[in-house]
This record gives sequence, structure tokens and C-alpha cells, in this order.
Amino acid sequence: MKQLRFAAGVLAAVTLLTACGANDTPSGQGGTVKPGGNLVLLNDAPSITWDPAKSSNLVVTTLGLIHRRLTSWDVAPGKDTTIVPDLATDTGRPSDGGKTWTFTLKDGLKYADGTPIKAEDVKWGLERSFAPAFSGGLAYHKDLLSPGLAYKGPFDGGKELDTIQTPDAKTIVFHLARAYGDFNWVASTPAFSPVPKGKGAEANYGDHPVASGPYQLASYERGKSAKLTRNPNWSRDEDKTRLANPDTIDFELGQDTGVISKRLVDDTGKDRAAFGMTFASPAQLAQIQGNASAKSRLVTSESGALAYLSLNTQRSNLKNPKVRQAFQYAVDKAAFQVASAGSAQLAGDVATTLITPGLQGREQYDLYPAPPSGDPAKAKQLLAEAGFPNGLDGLVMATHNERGFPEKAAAIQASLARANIKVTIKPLDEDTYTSEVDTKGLSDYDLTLTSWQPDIPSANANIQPLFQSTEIGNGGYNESRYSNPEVDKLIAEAQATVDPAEAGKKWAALDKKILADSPVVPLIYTRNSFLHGSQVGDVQIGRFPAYVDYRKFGIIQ
Amino acid sequence: MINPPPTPAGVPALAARSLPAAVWRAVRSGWWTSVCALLVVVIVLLAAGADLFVLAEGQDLVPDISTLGPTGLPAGTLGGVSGAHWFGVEPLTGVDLFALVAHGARTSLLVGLGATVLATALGVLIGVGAGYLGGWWDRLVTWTADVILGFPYLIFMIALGAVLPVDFPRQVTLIVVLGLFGWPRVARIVRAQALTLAKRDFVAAARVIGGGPWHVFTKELLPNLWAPIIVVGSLSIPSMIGSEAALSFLGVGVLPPTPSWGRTISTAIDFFETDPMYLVFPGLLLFLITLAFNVVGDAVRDALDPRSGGAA
Amino acid sequence: MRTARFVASRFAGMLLVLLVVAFVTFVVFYVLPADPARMACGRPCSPEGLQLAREFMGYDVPWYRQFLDFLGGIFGGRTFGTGTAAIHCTAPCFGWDFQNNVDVLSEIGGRIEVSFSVALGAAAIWIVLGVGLGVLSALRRGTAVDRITMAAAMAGVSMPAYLAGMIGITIFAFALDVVPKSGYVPLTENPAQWAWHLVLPWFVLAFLHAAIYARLTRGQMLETLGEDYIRTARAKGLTERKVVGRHALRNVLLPVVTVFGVDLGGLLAGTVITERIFGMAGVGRLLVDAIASLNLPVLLGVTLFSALLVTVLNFLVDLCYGALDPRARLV
Repeated sequence: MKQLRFAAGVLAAVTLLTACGANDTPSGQGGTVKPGGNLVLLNDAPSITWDPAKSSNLVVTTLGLIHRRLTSWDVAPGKDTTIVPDLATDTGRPSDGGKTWTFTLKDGLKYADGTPIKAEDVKWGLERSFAPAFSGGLAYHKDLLSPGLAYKGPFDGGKELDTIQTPDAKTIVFHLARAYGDFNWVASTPAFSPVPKGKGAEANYGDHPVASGPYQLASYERGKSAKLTRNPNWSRDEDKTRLANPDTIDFELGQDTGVISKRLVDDTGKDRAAFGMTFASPAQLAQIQGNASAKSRLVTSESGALAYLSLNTQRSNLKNPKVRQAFQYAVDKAAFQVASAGSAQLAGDVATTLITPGLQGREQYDLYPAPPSGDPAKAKQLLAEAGFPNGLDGLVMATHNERGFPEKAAAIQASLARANIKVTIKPLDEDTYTSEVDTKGLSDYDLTLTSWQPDIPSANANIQPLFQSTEIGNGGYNESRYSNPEVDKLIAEAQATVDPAEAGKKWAALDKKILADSPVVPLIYTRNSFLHGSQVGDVQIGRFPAYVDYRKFGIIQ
Repeated sequence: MINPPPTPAGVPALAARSLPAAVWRAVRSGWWTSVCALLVVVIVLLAAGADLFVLAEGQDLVPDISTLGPTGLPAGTLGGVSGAHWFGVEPLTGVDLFALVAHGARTSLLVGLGATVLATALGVLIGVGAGYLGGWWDRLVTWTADVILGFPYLIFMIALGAVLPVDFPRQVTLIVVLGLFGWPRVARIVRAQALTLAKRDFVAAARVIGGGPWHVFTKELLPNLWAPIIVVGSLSIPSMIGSEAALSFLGVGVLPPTPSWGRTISTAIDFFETDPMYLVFPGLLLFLITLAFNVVGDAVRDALDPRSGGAA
Repeated sequence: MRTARFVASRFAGMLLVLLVVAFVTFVVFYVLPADPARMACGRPCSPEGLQLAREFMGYDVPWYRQFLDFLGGIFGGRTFGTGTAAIHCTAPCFGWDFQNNVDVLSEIGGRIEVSFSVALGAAAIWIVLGVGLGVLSALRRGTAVDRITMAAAMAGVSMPAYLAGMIGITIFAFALDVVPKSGYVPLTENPAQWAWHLVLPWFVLAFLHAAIYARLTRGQMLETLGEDYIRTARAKGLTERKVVGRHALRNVLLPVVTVFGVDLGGLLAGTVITERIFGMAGVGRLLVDAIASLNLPVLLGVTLFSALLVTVLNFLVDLCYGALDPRARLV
């Protein structure tokens, strides 16, 4: 009786849903994107950090709508990402071999409240980021400006950071602790947003920050919503990086991802002017592929974060490079693609390099050629040569508990088993993972399955955090615990090189050199897919980063 | 509540009806109950002999992407149901769904039954003791129960899951945690009944005759508590199975790749529109096992206590 | 006098419960290998950064010291950090949420309305529905009404909450589009919209929980109706209504009240799944988000809040007990 009822209920639901699906028609895009309209952004995260010192946002997404920095990124589909000026007149002038960087601010810059933006405000914003009360955001500048974090911010005794000088209201000079070729890129991180000098001491500054970008934060309700309205003192003429089409932007926070996907697929009423900030999950992608209208409104990136398998080089079994090289042939990257997103096209290309596509100077190569599904025979042969004719046993693979990682780990586990490598999976929630894998000195794991996206479009950000020996433990990301003094030296050299072309060559050489040692197995360059309503246009994703450029989209009118 | 006059032997007539006899009577009492009892047996067999069944099907738990279509969904209709794959396959991996469900049954039943036994045993002992003995013991028990009831066990599970080594059997951890967090619910209900019973005449009579606490417990209280205990127990089994599924649903139950209905259901919900059978098979089975235990439990209670008049 | 002593002793017990829950939570999190200071460290992180973050948040002292600091904060407030950017958490301070820059008490306070609206509304529906249907089934035992009701109750009891929620929202909000898809409207803002947005969550929850009460009530009712004193009441010539309403119901409500208290306590503090599926910012959602981001102060606050609710409700249940069954009166 009851199971008939249940089955009837399920049948009814399925019939209704197929009936609804049958009505879909491809949305007509009569009209172009023009300034004006209200855009709705749907998010599953319950809150947004608007305080620049505490933010880890990319240049192209949320924070870039209200905070400008010294430099910015030029992002477009089909081309590498390059650096362009934002508040500054150029992308910085290095001197003293790259130890000193000078920027000049443009004329006539004003905040949303009408006061002028001065060089000392940029200095104050950076000083503020050193205070413990406001740390937590991107910190690439910290060790360069104050080694060992000796400076603790301007709020406890009013001390200034003397490695930053502002000789006048428009010039700012940085004296770095060592030569650093990518400092112009670092100047695009959120902490380089100006904060009016003397302000921002209150803990909730992020609820009402002073805006320098095309929009200002009109209201923010944690867990619920945020509203951006235009900054009257910003104009397109002196900001070539942002179009700022919509008049207002409404964020809806804390939404369930399944509901977001359904709303956008249905594309009715106000949802037609909505955009989903969250990645489309594999299940949602499968549904979208079967719906012509939704499929036309899905935007997929060209490339993206490097998904990889880390091999703990300090564990006894994995100390031998030959053993590690066997893993390169044992993994089934095709199965990993399917486990990630259902098809190779939506998941992303097979990866064979450490540097991700879209970064200047990157070279494509393949040190371990094998078909996408791997070469278990060759793996077994390498293991036998290394003294393990019966394969390996008892390895532990740590991975994240969400974002589909357990399923992807299962696919890797199965493919390794083909080469007689037996692995147990240990899924950990985010913070336990960080603590166990990134913070602790000793390690209990042999493999990790994770992914890495550089914060700034520089090969430096692909290689240094993952392979420099100083990044082992203490919150660093060198999960393969790779420690090679020669590589460390080469990394320091490449970082100090100011000429981008020369630096690019050095990083490409490092890429090959490190991979020859096989501390990690690159898997895929993860593509991200986003869905939007039929009234949203110009939704583009460049080669890097794998996120929609919020500075370009708008409402079709 | 049962209140038969005490016989000279001091044992109420009802307790002479032993549990196995009651169960047998209950199972035969109606065609629907028999079907549910059969269902319980079938699913228990499926769980116990999962390997054999899967071998008979000719599959295993290894992924196989050749069974999937171009979007990662199973090729073929009804989620890939065929002679080779009785329940179809799992999207994105191609793992045989029957194998997943069969092994998942084992996880669910092991944890569900184990946790119920632990929680009920603890709950009855502690609850009856509290209700009967009263005084400071009762207050301590009530207070401890409050502490445990007030604590979100989800946090505990996450903490334990992170701390225990990978090779420690996760099912045991789940049974212990669910059992320890489950006894207060049983105890509160049992204690309430025991409180009322304790003040009854026949209990006082037994004490006057000279019966010690253990004698009173086994001969006077327990026989009169069977009905609420069975009801609570029969409601606990499916609830424990559901809790295991919920914890696996949230990712803190058994670790992959050990199959679990909860985890499968959690992924299948997102695929409901594109591959409904992925949800239907484990979801339906979870529903059926819960239903079957409820129906059989009800019938047993009715058999033990004819005054309650039988189920619908 | 006896009642006053009873109340006072229960109140003291309640405080002790909260203290122990807080203590156990502290120990559990101390044992947990995750490091909350990591979040405040930034990327790239360094040993100095971790140390600064720990000092600021008060995690660089031993766990028993942290616990005492926490207790002290409840009575006298707490200050984190030094200088003009120091954070002042005024008494009573149940911790500070560093990730969201707000004190835990106000954060929970802002969400109580949502959770209470969902839980209390659903509870009102399910208790009326559950008990009513249970009584009806008992009185009409064996008829079609009885069978159908018990069948539906069986279905409700056997279905997992997340399944029911997803099915409900798929059918009513998306396919039929008769109720809003998500969101919460405050009662003070617009009572009609408030109720409208809550209709689906209320009925999903009610369907699941009413089933338990229907079965329980029916079982208890049937047992009670067979009792001697009921036969006496009928023999005296009282109307069936009086027999059921005055005499039988009292006995029946005992276990119902117990289960209701436990149920409601758990539900109020953790309507996690409902809030997630229906996109509402309640306390349950706060708990899940805090677990995901290891927001220890919030976790501690929500755990204490949940413990407080459960103990208060159990206390009320015990009082009701005394009212319903003089034999079960405590003290």
C-alpha cells in the first residue's frame, strides 16, 4: 500500500518535471548589453568579505566592483592574461634591480563620498592589513615589506611602515626586502585598495567600506543579501578595465545550490536577470545538457585550476623517484575527467605541466606520454625496476570532504589498483585537511588529491607555493613535502628577475625540472561552468582565471 | 498500561508469553505483516550475503566508464538497467548500482541494529533504574540525559572522525556514538512508565513479600514494560538506520569507498531529474526497510498486549 | 513550598548542564586537529602570521585558560587585541565571530526568529494533526479511516527528512509553482508573506512528525480505552465525548508530552535540513556553516543555545507531567 503510494508520488514528480522540460525553448536574445538595469547574483555562501585587508578575491569578481587597486588584469577569452594599470598611471617602475618599485596615481581620483584618493591612503590600506584584527586576506606583500611580520599594524601605538614612502599625494614608493619581479602583479591584490587614512579601525569596516570602484555598498545583511549602487565619482573614461553596465546589483546569499540551478534553468520572472556565482555541479551539468535553453546559457571556461595528486616525498615508499614516476602512468585521467563533470569537454583537458594555461611564458610539454586512461603495464614495470614487483600497499590518500573530491578520489584509487598500488581514502573536512596536511610538521598521509589555482596570473604563483621547501607545514601548500635546494635557488632567482620574458623562460625550465622528479601527478586543468538568465549578456571567461569577468557583463535591453 | 492482578507466583500471566512466540504470532497475524516480515528477512539476507548476490550478478564495485553516455549519465534507459546491471549504474563512475545498494544494506543494518541494541539496552537499564529507585540517582540520570540530549552529536562525530586513525572500523565508531547519544530518548520514555508503575500496588506488594530491586526489576517491572520497550525499539531501528544515512549524507559516516545508502542518496538527489532511478533504488529500499521494521514491530507489540486491540 | 524547591533545584541543574556542555565542547575542539587561527592567517601563511592570529583570538593559552576566559566573558565582557583596533565584546559575551565581525549572541539572536517560526508553526500543526488523527483512528478502529491514516503515518515515519523536503519543493514549488521557492519574510514586515513562505516547510515537517504522534496517540488511546476506569465511566452513563476527552486523553497525553518535548528541543535548535533546502537563515544553517568553516565561537554558542532549549523544554515537560499524572509528581 505504502510503497505504491510512494512510487505513485515519484512517478507524478517525474512526469511533471518532464512535462515542464518539454516546454523549453531557446531564449531569444533580441537586444544587446547596454548600461542600466538591475542584476541579481545568486550565491550559496552566507557572507561576503568587503574589507579589502581580509579579502582573497580575484580581480575579476566581487571585490573588484567596489575596490580599485594600483594595477589590474586584462582578461579576455582566447588570450593570455596581461597586467594593466588601474589607479596608477602605469604598471609600476622597478629600480635597484627590482628591489624598489614606484607608482604614480592618476589625477582626479575620488572615493564614493567625494574625497580625493591620495597615495597615503594606499599606504594606510597596506599598513592596516598587517594588524592582527584585519589579517586573513591575500598576503603576498607582507613578507616583502616587513620580513618576519615585524610590523604589526598602525593601531597599536600609531607606528608607520617605513618601507613604503609617499613623497607626495600622487607618488608611492615600495622598498622591498629582496628583488621581486612580480611585484606589479602583487599590486593588484585587494590589500592595495585605498582606505582613507585614519579610518577603518572598527572591526566591521567591511560592512560599510569606502568605495573607489564603480559601485558602492548600499546595504549588507549577513546571511541574506547585499546591494550595490553606482559610485557617482567613478567614470568609464579613466577606468579602462571595467564597464560596470548594471545600475544596481543585488546579491542573494545563503541559497541552496540545487535551488539556484533550478531557478536559472527555469528562467522565469526576475530570475532572467540573474547569474549563478557558484560552479555548476556535475549533476546540474547533466541536467543542463538535456535542456536546450539552459545549454545555451551555460558558460564554460577554457581552462582552470590544476587538479593534481601529491606524492609525499618524505615517506619511505615514495622516496624513490622511479616509484613516483610509476604513478604518472598508473592514474586514469580519463576516468577522472568523467568523475569530475561527466565528460572530458566539461571537466577540462588532461594536464601534463605544472603551470596552468593563460599565464605568460607557459610552455606545453609532456614528460610522461601515455594515453588518457593511463598505462598500467608501464607503471608495473617501473615499480618492478624500483624493487616493488608486487606493487605498493597500505598507502593513505587524504582529500577534501566536498566538491566531489571523494568520488574523484575513488576513481583515482581504482585506477591505481590496476597497477597493484593499494590506497585507502581519508576524506577530511576543510579545516582538518588544512591542519593535518598543510600545518602539521609531521605527516600521516602518502598521497593527497587536491587542486591549486594561482592567486595572481604569474607562473611564480603556480610553482613557489607548491614546491619551495619553506612552504612545508605552518600553513604552506607544499603537500608533496618537496625539498630540493637547487630548485629553491632557481625559484629565488626567477622571482628576482624583473624582465617578464626572461622570468617566463626560467619558470618554464623550472616546471620541467620539478616534474622530472615527479613529486606530483598533474591530472586536469579544471574547467568551471556558470549558468545565467536569458537577460544577462556578455558573460565571458578568459583563459585565466576560470571565473566570469564581473567587470564586463550586463543586462540585455 | 497493563494492570493484571498479581498471581500467587508473583508473575503476571502475560510474561509467560515469551518473545519468540509473540513474534511468530505477530508475523502470522495478517498478510501485510507477513509480507513485511519477509521483506525484513530478504533485506537482512541481502546485507549478510551481499558478496554472493553481487557475484551472482557478475559485477563488483569497480568503476567502469564504458557504461556511461557522453554526459556522464548512464547509457541506456532507466539509468542503465539491464541483464548485466540489475539496478543500472552510478552516473560519473559507472559503478554497478546493485552492488552499491547490496553493500550499503550491510552498512545500514549493521549500524542501525547495533546502535539500537546498545541504545535500548542502556536506556532500559538506566531509565528503569532512575524511575524505580528515584532520589539522587534519578536526578543524576535526568541531568546526564539532558546534557546528552542537548549536545549536537554531529560535532562529536566530526571530531571523532578527524581524530581516529583511518584503519579504525568506522561502523564501530558510528554504533558507539549513535548508541551513546540514543539512550536518553529511550530512558526518558521508559523512566516515565517506570515512575508510574513503581507506585502501583503490585510492585509494593512484591517489595513487601521481600523482593530485592533486581527481582522487582525482572519480575514486576520488565514484563509490564515490554510493550513500550518494543515500541521504542521498533521505532529506534529505522531511526538509527536513518541517522546513519543522515550522517553519511553529511559526509561524516562511513568513509568512501565503503558504500552507504545515505551517501548514495545524497548524491542521487541532485541527479533526480536526469537519472531518477539512481535515487529510486536506494531511496526505495531505505523506505522499505524502515517501513517493514515499523510494521513488524507494531505487530509484535500488539501480539504481546492483546488489550491494545491489534493494528489496522 | 515543595514546588518552589523543585523549581529551584531544576534551575540549578539546568545551569550545571550548560556548564558541562560548554566544558565538553571546549575539550572536543581542543582535541580536534584543525587550527582556527589558520583562517585568520591569510595566504601565504607563515609561522609568525599564525602566532599573531592565535594571540589575537586568545588561542595561545592552554585550553582550561581559554575556558575560564570564556566564562569570564559571560559576566564581564571581553576584549580581543590591543590598541584602537581592539575588539570589545560587551557583557554578556558568548564569544566573538571573527569571520563575520559580530558577537555570537547577536548573531544567534538575529536568527532565532527564523528557526522559531519554522519549528513552532510546524509543531502546532503536527501536534494537532497527529493527536487528532490518532484519536480518530483509535475511536474508529478497523475502519477505512483508521487504515488510511495509519498507512499515511507509516509513510511519514519511514521517510528521511531530506527526501521529503526535496520531493516537496520539487512538486509544489517548481513543478506546480504554488508556493515560493525559497526565502524568509519577517513576521513584522509582512505577516501574510511570512506565513506564505513558511507553508511548505511547515507541512513537510508536519507530515514527518505528525506520523509519530498519530501512531503513538492511537496506541496509547486503545490501551487506555481498555482500562477499568474507562469502563466504569461508560457504565456511569457519561457521554463518549466526556469519556474520551476528560478521562482517557489525560493518560494518553503523558507519553505524547514526553516525546513532544524532546522532539521540539531538537527541532528548534537544529532545523538544519529544512533551512538549507528552503534557503532560510536560521540557527540550524548557522551551525552547518560554522562546522564547515570551523567557526569555533559560533559552534560553541549554538551548542549552548541548543542545550539551553532542550533543558528548558524538558523542564516544562516535567511540569506538565506533574499536572497530568499526580502519581508521577517528582520531589
